[in-house]
Amino acid sequence: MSTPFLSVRDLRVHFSTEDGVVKAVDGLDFDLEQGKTLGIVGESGSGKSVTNLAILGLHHKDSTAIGGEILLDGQELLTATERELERLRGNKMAMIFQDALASLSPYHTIGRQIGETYRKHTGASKKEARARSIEMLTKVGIPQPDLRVDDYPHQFSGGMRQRAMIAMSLVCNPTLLIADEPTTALDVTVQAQIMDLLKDLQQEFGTSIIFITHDLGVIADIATTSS
Amino acid sequence: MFRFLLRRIAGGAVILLIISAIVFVLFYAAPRDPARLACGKVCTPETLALVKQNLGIADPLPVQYWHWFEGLFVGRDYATFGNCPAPCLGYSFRNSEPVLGTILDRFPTTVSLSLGSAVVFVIFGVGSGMLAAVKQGKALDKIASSASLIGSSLQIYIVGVFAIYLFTDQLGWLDRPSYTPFTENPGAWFSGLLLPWLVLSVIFTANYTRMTRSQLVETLSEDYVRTARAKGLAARTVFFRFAWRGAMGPIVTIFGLDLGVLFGGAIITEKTFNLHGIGELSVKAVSTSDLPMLLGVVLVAATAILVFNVIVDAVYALIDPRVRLA
Ligand SMILES: Nc1ncnc2c1ncn2[C@@H]1O[C@H](COP(=O)(O)OP(=O)(O)O)[C@@H](O)[C@H]1O
Ligand SMILES: [Mg+2]
Repeated sequence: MSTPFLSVRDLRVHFSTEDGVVKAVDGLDFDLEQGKTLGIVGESGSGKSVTNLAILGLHHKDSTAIGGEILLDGQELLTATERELERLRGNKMAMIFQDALASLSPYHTIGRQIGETYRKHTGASKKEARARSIEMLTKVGIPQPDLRVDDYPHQFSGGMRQRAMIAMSLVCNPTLLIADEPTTALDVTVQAQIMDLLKDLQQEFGTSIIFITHDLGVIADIATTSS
Repeated sequence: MFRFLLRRIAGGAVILLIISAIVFVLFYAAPRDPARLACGKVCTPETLALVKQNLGIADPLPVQYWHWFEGLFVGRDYATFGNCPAPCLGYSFRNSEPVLGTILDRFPTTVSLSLGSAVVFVIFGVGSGMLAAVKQGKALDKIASSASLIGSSLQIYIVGVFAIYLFTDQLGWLDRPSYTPFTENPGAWFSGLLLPWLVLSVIFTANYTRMTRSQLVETLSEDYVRTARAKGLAARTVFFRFAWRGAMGPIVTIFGLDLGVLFGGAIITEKTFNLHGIGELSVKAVSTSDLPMLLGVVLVAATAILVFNVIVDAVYALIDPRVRLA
C-alpha cells in the first residue's frame, strides 16, 4: 500500500466558548489516496464541517484548540505557518461550501472571484485571469460563459452558483478538493448534474475529493471509500 | 440614473412643500404674535395694523402661504422693502434683512464646521472601529470599546467649555474658536475651527467606532469572507476587499444622514463656541418669532437631509450591485 496522499491522525478540534469547551471533533483518523474520493457521512452537528475547516486551517486560532496530525502530501498542516497555508489554500487544496449564495461575495463579479484565486497563485495578469475564468465556466457547463463571467452571484441560479463555486475551487488544479454538502441546497435534478460534473472533473484532473454529505444515497453514488 | 434623480427631486419638492406648510401652521398656532413683538413698547392698534401690513401677515393664512410660495418662484414686492427677487424667502421680522442673504451668509460657517469635524470623526471613528474589530476580544478592542462608551455619553457643552478653558485659556495650544472665511485666510479658518471640530467629533467618533466595529464583526463572520480565506487570499486582502466592503454600506448610510443633519446646523456646538452658523440662526428665529427666517432655516435643513439621502442611495447602489436605483 502506498503512503496516503492525505492522512489525518487523532484529530481533535475543541472550541472554547462562553459556555465552556465544545469538543466538536475528538480523535478522528482517516486516509485518502491520490485521485480517490472519500465520503464522509454523518448527521448534522457531528463535526464534518469542523474537520474539513481544520484541514484548510480556517478555524480562528484564538478560540480553537486543534490537536493531532494532518499530513498533506508529506507536509504537516497543523504546524504550518499562515503564510504556508495561504500558499496551499485555493492552490493545492480547495473547498466548496454548501450555501453557494452566501459563500460567494455579493460585491464582486463571478469572473473576478474565480480570477483572483488564479492571479494570487499564478501571478497571472487580469486579462489572463479573465480568460481562465471563462475557460473554467465553460468546463463547469455555464452557458455563454464569456457573458456570464461579468455577472454577479445574485444573477445566477442556484445550480449555476454551485457550478461557479466549483469552477473557482478548481481554477488552480488543486490536488485535494473538499466538497462540504455541495448539493444539499439544490433540488434533485440539479444535484445529479453537480455530482456528474464533480465525477467528470475528477477523471480529468485526478483530484482527490473529500465528499461530505448527510445523505447516504448521495454517498453511494460518488464515493470509492466511505467512513 | 436619470429617472432615479428625477423621481427623487420631485419627491423631495413635495416633502419640502409639506414641511413649509406645517411650519406655517405651527407658527400661527403658537401664542406669540410677531406683530406685537415688532411693534415695540408703545403700540397702538393703528401701528399694530400697520406693522401687520408691512410684515405681510395681515392676510388670512392660506393667502399668506400662497404669497410666500409664489415668492420662491417669481419674487415679491413689499411696500416697505421694495422688490425681493426670486427665489424670495422674504424679509426677517426681526431685523428686516433678506432671509436668503442671511442664510447664505451663515451657511459657510456651518458647512466648514460640519465637513471639518466629519473628516476627524470618519478617520478616527472608522479607524479605531477597524482596529477593534481586527483585535476582537483583545486589550485594544476593550480599550476602544470603553473609550467609545465614555465618548458617546459626553455632552458637547461640557466638553466644549472645558476644552476652551484647558487648551485655549490655560495651555494656549489652540486658538479661541472663531470663523474666518477660507477664501480670506485659510490659516485662520483652520486654527479658528480646530477646537470646535475636535469637540464636535468626540461623540461622533465614539459612535462610528462602535458602529464600524459591530458591522465588521458581523461581516468578518460571513461565509464569503471564509471563502476568500479558503482561496488563499492574504488576511489584509480578505479584510479590505471583502469584510470592509460589506460593512461600508451601512456606515456610508449613517454618515450621509449625519452630514445632512449637521448641514442643517449644529445648534449646541455653534452656541458653545459662539459661531454664527445655521444652527444659531434657527434658535434665534424661534426665540424671536421670526417666521420668514424660521421657514428659511427649516427648508435649508430639510433640503440638506433630502440631498444627502439621494447621495446615500446612489452611493449604496455603487457599493452593492444587488441594489438597483428606482
Ligand atoms: N466556531 C465554533 N465555536 C463553537 N462551536 C462550534 C463552532 N463551529 C462548530 N461548532 C460546533 O461543533 C459541532 C460540529 O459542527 P459542524 O462540523 O458544523 O457539523 P456538521 O457535521 O453538520 O458539519 C456543532 O455542535 C457546532 O455547534
Ligand atoms: Mg456542515
